Amino acid sequence: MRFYTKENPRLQEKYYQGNHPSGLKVVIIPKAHKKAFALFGTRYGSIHRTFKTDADQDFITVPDGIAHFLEHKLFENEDGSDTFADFAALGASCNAFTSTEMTAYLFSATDHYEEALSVLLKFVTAPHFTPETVQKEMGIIGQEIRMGHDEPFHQLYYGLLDALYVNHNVKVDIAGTEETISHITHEILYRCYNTFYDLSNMLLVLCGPWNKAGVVEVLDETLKECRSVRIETAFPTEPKRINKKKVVKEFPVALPLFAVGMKEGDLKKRIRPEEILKKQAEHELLSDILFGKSSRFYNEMYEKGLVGDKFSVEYNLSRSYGYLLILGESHRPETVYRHVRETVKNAAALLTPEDFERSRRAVYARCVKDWNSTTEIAETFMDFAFAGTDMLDYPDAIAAVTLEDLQERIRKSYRADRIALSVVKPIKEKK
Amino acid sequence: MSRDSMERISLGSETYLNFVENDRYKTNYISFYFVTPLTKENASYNSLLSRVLTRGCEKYPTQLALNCALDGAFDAELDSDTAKVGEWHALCLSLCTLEDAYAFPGETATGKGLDILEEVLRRPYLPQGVFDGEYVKSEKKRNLDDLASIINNKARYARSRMFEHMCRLEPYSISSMGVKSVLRAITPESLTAYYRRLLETARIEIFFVGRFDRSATAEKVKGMLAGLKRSPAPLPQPSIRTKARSVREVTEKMDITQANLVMGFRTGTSVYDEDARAMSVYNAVLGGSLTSKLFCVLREKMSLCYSVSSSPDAMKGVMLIYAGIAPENRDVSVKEALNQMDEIRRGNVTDEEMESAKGALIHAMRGLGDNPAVLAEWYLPRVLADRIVTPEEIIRDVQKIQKEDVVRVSEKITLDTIYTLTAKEAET
Repeated sequence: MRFYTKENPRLQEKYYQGNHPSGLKVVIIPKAHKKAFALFGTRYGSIHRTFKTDADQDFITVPDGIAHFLEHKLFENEDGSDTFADFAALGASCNAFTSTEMTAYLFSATDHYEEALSVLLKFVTAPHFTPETVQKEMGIIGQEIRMGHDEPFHQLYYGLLDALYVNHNVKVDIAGTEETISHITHEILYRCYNTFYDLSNMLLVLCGPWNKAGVVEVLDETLKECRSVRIETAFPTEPKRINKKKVVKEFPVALPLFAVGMKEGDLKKRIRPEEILKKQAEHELLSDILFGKSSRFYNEMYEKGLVGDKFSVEYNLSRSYGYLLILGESHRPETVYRHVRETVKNAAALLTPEDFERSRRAVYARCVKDWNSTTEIAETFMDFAFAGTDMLDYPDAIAAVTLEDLQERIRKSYRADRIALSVVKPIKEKK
Repeated sequence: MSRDSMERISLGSETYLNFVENDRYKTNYISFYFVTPLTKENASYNSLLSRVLTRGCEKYPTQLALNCALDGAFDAELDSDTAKVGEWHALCLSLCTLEDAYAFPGETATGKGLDILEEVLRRPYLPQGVFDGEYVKSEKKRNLDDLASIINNKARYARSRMFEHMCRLEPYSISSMGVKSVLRAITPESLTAYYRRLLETARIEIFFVGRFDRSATAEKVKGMLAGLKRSPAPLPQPSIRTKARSVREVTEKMDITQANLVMGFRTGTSVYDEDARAMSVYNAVLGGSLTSKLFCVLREKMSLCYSVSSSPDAMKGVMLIYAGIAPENRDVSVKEALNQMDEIRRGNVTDEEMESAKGALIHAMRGLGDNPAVLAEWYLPRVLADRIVTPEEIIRDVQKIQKEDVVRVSEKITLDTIYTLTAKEAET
């Protein structure tokens, strides 16, 4: 197995990438940290609801929450052994997560890395689902779903996605509901597994004090050649307009929580990786300049007592959707919403060269800081890789953005009629 | 000096510099702790002061001016917060800066960031000789809002309610964000007087994690603290109850779907005891890891919960067990958690369980140094309790712990309080 090396001298970071004969793409990011981190992921998340492979006759639409359910069930082994215990015996700690776009299995170890890697690869490539074990998981995931139900920020977030999107699968709760997961069977789990857990659809990212030759040896021992299936996924069409202006829910909270979102309308089916990276950099700079902690918007809102320090701004961008997300607590969410709309309407005029210079420096530094922890590096790297881009190129992409690029981005993406508000407010006492 | 170990330098009058050398990061981390006894008064004043300080200083009188200056120093992250350590309470100013090697050519980040921290700490914005009335008023409102918002996170709320019941006569139950009655009474004048008193009387612990020139940094800090008439009093020892008197049960209801069960214990073992390390291993066996008894039985075998864990606080000699459960499963969950504790008391702990528990602790110790802020927070209680050990020394101690040690500490643990936050329609 051959690796090629890619470096970013300014960042003083590099990685090795290669294709294992089994069909799995492997990335090793060397770091002198004590914690070796491994992340084994598949491009399969909650948005993949309807799909088929080239070997299947028909599309199948699966119950909501199944990608996450499958993630839980992969930890079960045919011989009844406990995966957590296998890692613990090596002094390693393992976990997994499911997002809209991917499912990933991970561990960190400070010793016996290669043995732990072997455990990871083996359990993820050996599914074992039975009606009994599927039934047993309903109770555990049922409590995970209720935990989310009682979590106000969870409600706020899904309220906003419901306001922004008419049909897009991103609005569906990753964990599903207690009702949808009740339709999950071991047969459907196998169909999902056999579609998306083909090594050609997966990626292994290793970060930390890994040894290349040792890694290859483990890969050779544990992985069999994959089938290289062609996956077809069907998505509902999503209009450019938002679904509704406002979603309001009542929960036991102290003061109202708000989420304001702006839906991306500039989405192309075919887009080159450099274009994605540039667009992401532009959005990150714009959200920082217009809404970040050093923006006039934030400081005016803060001085008027409309927001507190629980306030965050981010831009989430994927191939099929994108949105600006502003979260916080406020006694007057509607006023915050109106100010966001005003700021979006006047964005072109608000953009100054001084703000641009300041923000460029700060956002660049933030990207460099992302290279501090092995966990964060590997997870961010995989996010970029599944989007078809490269994390190592991102700081330079930020440094390359010009003020004119930002003006152009505003013209394409900033639309006041695509802004929605989600509020979670305290329960009114019934008299 | 071994990796992640610490060099401690006394500057006299209860002021200490702590250096942790590390070149793995892209950042440098600096934190200033001003440590006081945990009282309602101190917690409230520290909390409000931490907020008012970052509203502005003489040089950068508004938050906008201050944040822009921090951005200019390559996103220097200045954070002002409080920390509760056992029965001590600290105001903490921390700074995370980009390591100079990664700044734009010819520019520096860490020195600039430290200069801003000095402005905020020593030359606050005092328009009429006291803190700005508007800043104090609005930050007080935010502080009260945040105190009320603890309710938003049900697990966290349930934990703090449990301690409010269990430690109702001990300082430990005081919130890190202070208490309403004291906060309401704070004026710009009283806050200014407190600020001056804090700088002169608090114990000062300063951490530098990353790449620093020690003698130059020590000189810099001396300059930053110059002119203070220091007259600190030694910190009082925490009050530690080794045994619960009786079991108290409290149930509260809310419009929620999941019940949050929190059980509070007196462990009889604190950071000051020889058995402190055995207690850590006990916790990993009981509920501190993914191979623990609580995780394997309550979650994996009985499907009662998704979240379940136990966590001790060695600074106070207490431990809690938390589980997020269906309301109707409250009694069975309590019974099974206590049953698992009995199992350990009877010596029913396998060699695998012992090894996995020790492995999890060792792994956590080895990985500590991978996060600069975590490393500083980890050392803080140890320097305050005067029990300074390195992660490596802990690993050596943990390796020696036997099953008998775990059984011995288990015998000292007593149940104090069972708190349940449950759904409105649940039957009691």
